[in-house]
Amino acid sequence: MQENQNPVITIQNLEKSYQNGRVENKVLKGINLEIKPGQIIGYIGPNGAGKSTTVKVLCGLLTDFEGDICILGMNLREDATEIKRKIGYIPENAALYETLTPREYLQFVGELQGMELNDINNKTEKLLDLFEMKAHADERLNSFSKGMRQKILIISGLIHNPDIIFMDEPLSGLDANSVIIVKEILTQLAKEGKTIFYSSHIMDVVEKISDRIILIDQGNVVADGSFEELNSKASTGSLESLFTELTGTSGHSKKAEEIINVFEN
Amino acid sequence: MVRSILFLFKPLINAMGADFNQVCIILSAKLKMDNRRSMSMSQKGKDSNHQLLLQTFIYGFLGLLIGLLILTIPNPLVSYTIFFSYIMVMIAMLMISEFTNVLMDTRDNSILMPRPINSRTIVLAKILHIAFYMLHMSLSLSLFVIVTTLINHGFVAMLVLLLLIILAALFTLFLTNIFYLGLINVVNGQKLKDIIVYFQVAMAILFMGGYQIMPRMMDMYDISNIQIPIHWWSYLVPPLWMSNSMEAFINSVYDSSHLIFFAYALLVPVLSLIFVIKVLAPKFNKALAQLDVAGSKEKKVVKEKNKGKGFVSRLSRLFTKNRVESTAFNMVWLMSGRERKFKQTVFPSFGYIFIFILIFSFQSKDAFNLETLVESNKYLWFIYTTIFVSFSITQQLGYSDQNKSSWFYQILPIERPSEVLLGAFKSVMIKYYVPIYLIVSTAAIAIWGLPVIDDLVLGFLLVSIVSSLMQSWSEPILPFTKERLTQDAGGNFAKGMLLMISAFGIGLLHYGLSLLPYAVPIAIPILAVILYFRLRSFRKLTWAKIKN
Repeated sequence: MQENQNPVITIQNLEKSYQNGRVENKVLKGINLEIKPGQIIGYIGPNGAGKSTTVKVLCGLLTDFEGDICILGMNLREDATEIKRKIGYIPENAALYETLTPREYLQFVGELQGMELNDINNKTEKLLDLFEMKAHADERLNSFSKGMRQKILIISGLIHNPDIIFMDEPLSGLDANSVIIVKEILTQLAKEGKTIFYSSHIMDVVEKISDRIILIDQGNVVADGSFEELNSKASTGSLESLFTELTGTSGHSKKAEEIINVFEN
Repeated sequence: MVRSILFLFKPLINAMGADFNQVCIILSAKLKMDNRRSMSMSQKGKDSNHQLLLQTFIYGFLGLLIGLLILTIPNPLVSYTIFFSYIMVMIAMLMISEFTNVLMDTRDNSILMPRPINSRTIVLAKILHIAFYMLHMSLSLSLFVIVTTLINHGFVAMLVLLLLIILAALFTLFLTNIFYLGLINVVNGQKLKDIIVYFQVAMAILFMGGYQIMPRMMDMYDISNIQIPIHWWSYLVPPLWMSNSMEAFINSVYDSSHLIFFAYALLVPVLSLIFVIKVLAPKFNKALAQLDVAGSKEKKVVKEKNKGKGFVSRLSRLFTKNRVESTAFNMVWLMSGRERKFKQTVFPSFGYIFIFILIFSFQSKDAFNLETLVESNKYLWFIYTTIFVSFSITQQLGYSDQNKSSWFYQILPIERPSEVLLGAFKSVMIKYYVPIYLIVSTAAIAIWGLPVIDDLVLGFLLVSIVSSLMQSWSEPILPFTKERLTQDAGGNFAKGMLLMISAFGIGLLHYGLSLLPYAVPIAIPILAVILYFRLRSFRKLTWAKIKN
């Protein structure tokens, strides 16, 4: 079914550099992707591969990039505001306005998304309850644990019912039950036709929920396909081994041995 | 309330391409957060819901002090020159020390950017936020002078004053903006925060010193008879633009000189505001976004130089007895130089020393000469003002903003936590207290000559004993392990009183000894032994007594 549909995200020759003093550090070196509606994309890669940068560009946080990006038929450079009405962004460990309470923060975010106050209040109450946060609804965010903050970030990214959800390590700090619930939410949302762009370096979650896995390394896409397709290419038949083969980080056991040697001698 | 005020400007806001509704939402949230943010001056992390009101009172009080001063000056040019110089300096300093964190809040990038808000809305909300802050600050500071102007010169004069205050605030905004831009371009985010800390320290000293020294200055110079002659360069001094305009209005002098001043007062701030909005603000936002990138994704690596490490380890070998103590000595030496909050709370006490020495040494006009000072025995003041530093370093040592890193004390096989405390105590005393004491001693010897040396040694021993007692009396805390929020105000007040009493007590003891022949030289070895045993008794502290 997906094959016949128009892509919701088209990325052409995406390049992005950071200027650090006089040194230019190229983080994305020409990414090309087409993403169909209803897909859960697992976007994986080692630390520093460019995962978060890609997500930030797609969500409009980084505006100076090279290449063309089209989301929901609109050009990201020209219609960023319109696109942002229809996407949700759930980052890892991101900033919150610390002195606000969850209720106040969610109302703030909801209003900026253009939601009606009644609708915001209604959803806030229900979501805080379902995420077991109701008891903390009027406490300031600066007293929250990492997992509690992450729940607020998840709610704030989904409250306006976006068509595309960008996630950057969204399960960070969550307890086992919450992880299962969020994974289930993602699967059901995808069934409803929502597109999920899930960036992570935790293989087993990506393996379980993604329809399509994109592996990037040093700013380039090095593998793209379903888990089964990628699996068949790997020598030992796991995503982890494929990851190490393609990102050139094999030889782990030798390295581990060397490290232990240092400790013990 | 924000919405109803902004509603008056709705057509203008929309015409600027910003979304009225979103501007209101952002501004309301920002003000709500301001209302809960504590001032750096108060040095407490306590949350409150009425910070803006509290700030109004504090600024109002600061304005009252300057207002009372200028009430005594009959010449409006002089009084308003002092007033405008004062509020312009205050606004600039307060902007930098209190508002920087708000202004440079890079959280906005990750919270607002993914939302459907256009960039004009974000910029306008930011400008309005700053405008509100400036207005609140400048009007609170001027409240008393506004009222006295109304009483003395009438309603219209008050309106002119209000206009001039707003213009002065705008011009100050322009100056601080240039300051920030210059700073952002030359230093990275971390360094910038360090520089801001020094500003906060300077502010604290300025407040403490200003209100102690100003009345004495007024006594000395007959301030009510000062005249301000106009030179060609007077046209380059912003407070004079404002005060001359005020004088022109109050005394009805409309000559060319006054009209030029008035034109400057009106045009320069307006032009600078346009310049801020058109040129500086976009540059500033861009630099800020870069700062965010540099601060998060591509962290600029701050390499700490190895310079001086050999010296520190030599010191630690000299002054500590075992590995744990010397490790704590080294660690605290490094950390205390890098912990921003530690510096912010401790450094002002260095300034206080000099202010108090000035105050106590020159209490009246007549005492303002060296001869009378030499005849007095005020070197005791010199010695015991240094207790400000020893007290603040030993009290602040336990607190940190990154207190979560303290777990490692628990996990390490440290048998006696007292060794950590002792190493830390020696480290801060040697790093911060000894140098300042040497400076004060040098000054004392320069004034009173070599005979005061034994008093200086005695003073050092007494202060060290009292500081070490204070550190372990108030439930001992391992270095940098306690959250600053938990520093309670009541406790601080009690400790402050204790400090005053003990400083006075040991000063009195010292004074008594100095009256008896040979008592000081005899007391020195006795106190040295007491200090030795005092430091030894640190070792008795067990884990059970450590405050977690």
